[in-house]
Amino acid sequence: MDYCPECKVHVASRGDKCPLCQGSLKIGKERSNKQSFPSFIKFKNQRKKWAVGISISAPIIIAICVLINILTWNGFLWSLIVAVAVLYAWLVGLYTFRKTDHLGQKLMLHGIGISALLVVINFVTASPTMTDSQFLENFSEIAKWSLDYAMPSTLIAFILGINIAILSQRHRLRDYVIAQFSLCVIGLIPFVLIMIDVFAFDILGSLFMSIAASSFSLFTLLVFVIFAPKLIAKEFGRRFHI
Amino acid sequence: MKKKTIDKSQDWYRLDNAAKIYPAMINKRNSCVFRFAINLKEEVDPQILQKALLDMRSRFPAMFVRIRHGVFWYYLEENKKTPRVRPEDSRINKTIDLYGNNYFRFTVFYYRNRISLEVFHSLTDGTGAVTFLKSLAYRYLERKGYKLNDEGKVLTFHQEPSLDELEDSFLKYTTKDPHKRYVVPKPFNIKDSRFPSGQGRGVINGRLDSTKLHNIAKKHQSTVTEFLSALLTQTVYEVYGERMIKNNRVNICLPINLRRIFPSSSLRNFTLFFHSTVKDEKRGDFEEILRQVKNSFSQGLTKESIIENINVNMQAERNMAMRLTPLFIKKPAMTIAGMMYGGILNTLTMSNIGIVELPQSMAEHVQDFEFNLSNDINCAYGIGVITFNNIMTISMIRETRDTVFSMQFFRNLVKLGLEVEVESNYWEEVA
Repeated sequence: MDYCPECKVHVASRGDKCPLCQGSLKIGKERSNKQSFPSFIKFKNQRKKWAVGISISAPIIIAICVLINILTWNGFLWSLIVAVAVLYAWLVGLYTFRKTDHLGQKLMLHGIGISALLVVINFVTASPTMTDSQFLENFSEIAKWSLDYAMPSTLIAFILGINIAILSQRHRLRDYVIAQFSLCVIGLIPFVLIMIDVFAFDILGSLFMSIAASSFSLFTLLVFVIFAPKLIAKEFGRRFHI
Repeated sequence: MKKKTIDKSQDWYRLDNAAKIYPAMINKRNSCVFRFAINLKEEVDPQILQKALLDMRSRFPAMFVRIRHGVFWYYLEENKKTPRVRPEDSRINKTIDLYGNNYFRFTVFYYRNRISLEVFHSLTDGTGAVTFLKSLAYRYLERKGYKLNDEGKVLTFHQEPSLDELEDSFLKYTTKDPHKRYVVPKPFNIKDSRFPSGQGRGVINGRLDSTKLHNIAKKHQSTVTEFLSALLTQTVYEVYGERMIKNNRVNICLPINLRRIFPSSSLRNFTLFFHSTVKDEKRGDFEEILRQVKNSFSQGLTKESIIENINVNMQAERNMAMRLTPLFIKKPAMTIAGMMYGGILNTLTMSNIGIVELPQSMAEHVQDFEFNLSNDINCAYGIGVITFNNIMTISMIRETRDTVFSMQFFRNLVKLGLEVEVESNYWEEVA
């Protein structure tokens, strides 16, 4: 075994220098051929660089659009749509490509994100020049495509998506329970809007898609509660333990 | 008395008191991962090791889990995926790549004749990890065809796991007595230049005769842990004495295995951190340092003070407002608490696991053990000590490029008349 005359220690690992003082070694008769540890490989985190790049460029894009919108102002706040879309793409997009997160959670987040984005686009594009009173008077007309059609159909699509995922991976049902439950509760928002429309203010045009989305959400919730009550109780028990 | 066995339908566990903070503290510089390795006398066969690892699933259910986010706390959930043994990585105790590791919080590696286990601290402490590694190596050797007898020193995969092994022993021994806050004075921190972020840590292992060291410690009327703490403290004064202008206090953080004080068979965390604090005005007088270290040990390791410290740690967990605070709010608070009360309060961290006992039939196939601590960027050195078959392995894992501290420490051991054999990953040359 090699020996360091300065430190007076034997050196078991293969190397030309003493690992302690970096001085020369006295080579032993039976020289150790042992590499005690695997060779160094430089670690490169490509994903991190990509994520940092997007995180820097997203606020820059938003800032440029807001600036152009202000400089060329014609009463139309189009930069708000860009800002919401970029924010959505930035936050939800990065989350989508994160390998460690579950498909159910990703679908839930996209379902909520896309619904919100469509509502924002609808209101910004439909009412650029209206006063507040005009806006309230024409609310049901303005919100027609987002609240009547876009949001309910988006929620139906994503609830259906999670249901398909569950059916194709039944053994992983437990992993989807909370995401599906949360999305189904969000899916009852159209029902709340129907109630407001019927009993308070006129906010919806056609009720068809809202009824479909609420019914589908309720149906999915009932299927869970009827066919997997223990699983749901257990999942809620562990998720909400204090 | 017959041991209570676990309910097999149980597929999730609460994190124990000590484990709760670690998920909030992970970052690239602080993996909260520690490592044990067993060096066999023959090359490791990865395929047999893989089979042995899969055999461990039913025996150690709380290891084969993933960490999930609850609304209020993290929790452990059974992971039905398959863990894979891997060739050893050059970066020891790196942050676990969850996706690549099938969401398991431990990894079993092989390298030549070595089987190593890297574990995230929320799963278990040193005692639990070394118990798991011993069982894994035992099963590996059994699968290799060796006739072994466990002699009651190894948990074998044929046995049923008991309920006691999964208990949170902090809950068992905490009391509702009034307690005072545990204040650790801020020590001198080693500020030498660090390795680049994410590129791993330097490791130097030193092997020596444990009986000789034990005899030397005995001459100084101290235990081996007290003696090594004093020697490390002296080394800090020798190497960094000139830089200790504002603060000349040296704190060594020592995890205490509470199973030695309170009866427990738990394989989860049951460790408490204790600080040996020395303020030596003469900066390097060994007898004075040893006196102060022994004083710290005698004051800090009484049953009363330990229970008091457990109570302090349990206080947050018992507080209803804290319990009902959502995790997304609690997490940053725990991260800040970890930064305030973590590595910044330690000059060094040292853990002496003690003597590993193996059945004779198994010991014939084993050379020695290694133990590498988890340490964060603020605490420059982590020193893991483990003894097997009269060989004490002192593993120094360091964040700093410089090896002067390790050099001085091992030279001090040599000066005591000990024969030391060292090995290194030569990180200072490559990283």
